[in-house]
Amino acid sequence: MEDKVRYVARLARIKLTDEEVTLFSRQLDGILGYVDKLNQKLDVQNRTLPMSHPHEASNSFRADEVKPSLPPEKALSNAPQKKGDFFKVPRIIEE
Amino acid sequence: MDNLYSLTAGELLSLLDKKSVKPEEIIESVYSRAQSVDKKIKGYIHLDKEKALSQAKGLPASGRLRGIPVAIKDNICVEGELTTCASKILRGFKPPYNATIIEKLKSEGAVIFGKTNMDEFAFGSSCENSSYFPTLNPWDTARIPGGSSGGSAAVVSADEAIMAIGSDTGGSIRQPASLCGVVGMKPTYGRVSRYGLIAFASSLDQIGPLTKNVHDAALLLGVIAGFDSKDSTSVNVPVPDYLSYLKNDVKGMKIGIPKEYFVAGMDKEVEAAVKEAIALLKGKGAQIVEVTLPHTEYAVAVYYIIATAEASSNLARFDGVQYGYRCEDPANLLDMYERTREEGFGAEAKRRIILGTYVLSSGYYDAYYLKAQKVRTLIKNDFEQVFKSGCDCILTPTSPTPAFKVGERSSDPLSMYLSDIFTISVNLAGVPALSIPCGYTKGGLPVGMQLIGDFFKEEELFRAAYTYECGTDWHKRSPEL
Repeated sequence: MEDKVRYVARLARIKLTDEEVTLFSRQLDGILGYVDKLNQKLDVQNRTLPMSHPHEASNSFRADEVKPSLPPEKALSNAPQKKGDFFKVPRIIEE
Repeated sequence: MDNLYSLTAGELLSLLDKKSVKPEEIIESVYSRAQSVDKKIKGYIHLDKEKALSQAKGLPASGRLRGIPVAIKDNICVEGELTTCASKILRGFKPPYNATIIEKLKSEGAVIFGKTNMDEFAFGSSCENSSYFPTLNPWDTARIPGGSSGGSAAVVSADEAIMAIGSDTGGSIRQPASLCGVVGMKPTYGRVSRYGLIAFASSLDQIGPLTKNVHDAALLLGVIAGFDSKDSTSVNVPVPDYLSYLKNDVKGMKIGIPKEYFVAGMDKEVEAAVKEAIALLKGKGAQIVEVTLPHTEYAVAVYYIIATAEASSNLARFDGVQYGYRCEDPANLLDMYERTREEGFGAEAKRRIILGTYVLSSGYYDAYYLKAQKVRTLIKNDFEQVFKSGCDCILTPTSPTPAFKVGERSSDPLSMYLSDIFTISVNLAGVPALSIPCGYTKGGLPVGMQLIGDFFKEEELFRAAYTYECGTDWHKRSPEL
């Protein structure tokens, strides 16, 4: 389980300490053991459709009208770092 | 006038109508109450008297909530005001826009009064997962107020707010309402716009009212409900005049009691209080029938797969780029993501992101996520069957126990998750439900019952709850603080 937790943490872009890996592995084992009742006790028929949403899904359209958008200074107002009209982040492309 | 803070919105509005009180006096009264009792309760994260008072000067000439202070859960965006989901990763965040419900409240003259504490990102049932501090139950400060809208429930219960707004993904309005002795409602999925609600699980989340009585819940829902083009999941169904359904009459109403919700091992005092409530409604002319929701036992398992899957996806946006916390001196982009999220998220948020990512990951998707989605269909079908059989609503306990002690369940996530066992199915199905006080334990802790309705039939819940409330005086009790 610990390898899986490390792998999933990488996918989720969260660094975990060794203590967290141990703790979460134990807790996830317990939770997954509990949710496994879906696989063990319940025989779901193939024709049961999966549900992703309480209402029948349909596209929601609005009129194609021009409306004011968020001005750059407002959009950038919470930026941890910015430069001009841009969010500033560490270098992405290695030299 | 003294003790304005202890009145309901309905009572204050009639005083305002008669011009015997001014909005400023109400704000002063509620604020000074919060000053004196919030040291014990810790329901507010952000509260600014001047900001509340300044709104009193610019109120519209008329409005259904004109001059009424409403506390807002900290996951709902208020333009220019701290909105942090009680998380370190959003410390300092001031949204550049208002949630739709904030616009609606303001246009009806409500005063946006402080932001209330919650479990971080609404992940929890006790308010202990806040990154600030835990909120405590006004009826016994050694106990939790419930969660995740624990701050909103506690401030209404302690008369530190006249009304409050919460959000409910698996019981986060109803369970704290029950544990704090107030009324709380999760509306039908799509009834209230989620625009500006910071998402936890988008197919489950819904905003709703927490109030001192049924009238105020009906009043507040009437203001915040309705279609919104900014939320593609809001549904264009007309909003009825909920107040017109507040009649002391349930004659002919058919109320279903699901046998799966009354099982061995549930708290005896909770069971007794709910059974007395059933008897009261029967005495008022309701027809009581036993019904079955056969997939109830799978609800918690389905929920913790679907809710964490959606949460892991929704929380991907907190990466230190556009807003919120960013770690110091990142070595590169990946390091920035990983350390920002390590340092910014609390333990429960990390646990849920890990679980959610796991159930969505290649090789496990079919066994967990797809399976859970199919069982979700079965759970929804259960409710549809009951309402098709002619039931107007379903009555259950809201929570299997009264408020538990601080720390009692915080080290065992599964025992915490199981405290939502009676509320979770409702979110999975998408139907509306309300919690109303229905008694007190010998130790003086509130007990709540839940009324569940058919899609977009909130008015039936208000009618049943109002009739019940007319026959009891639980809602008139207040904690001693």
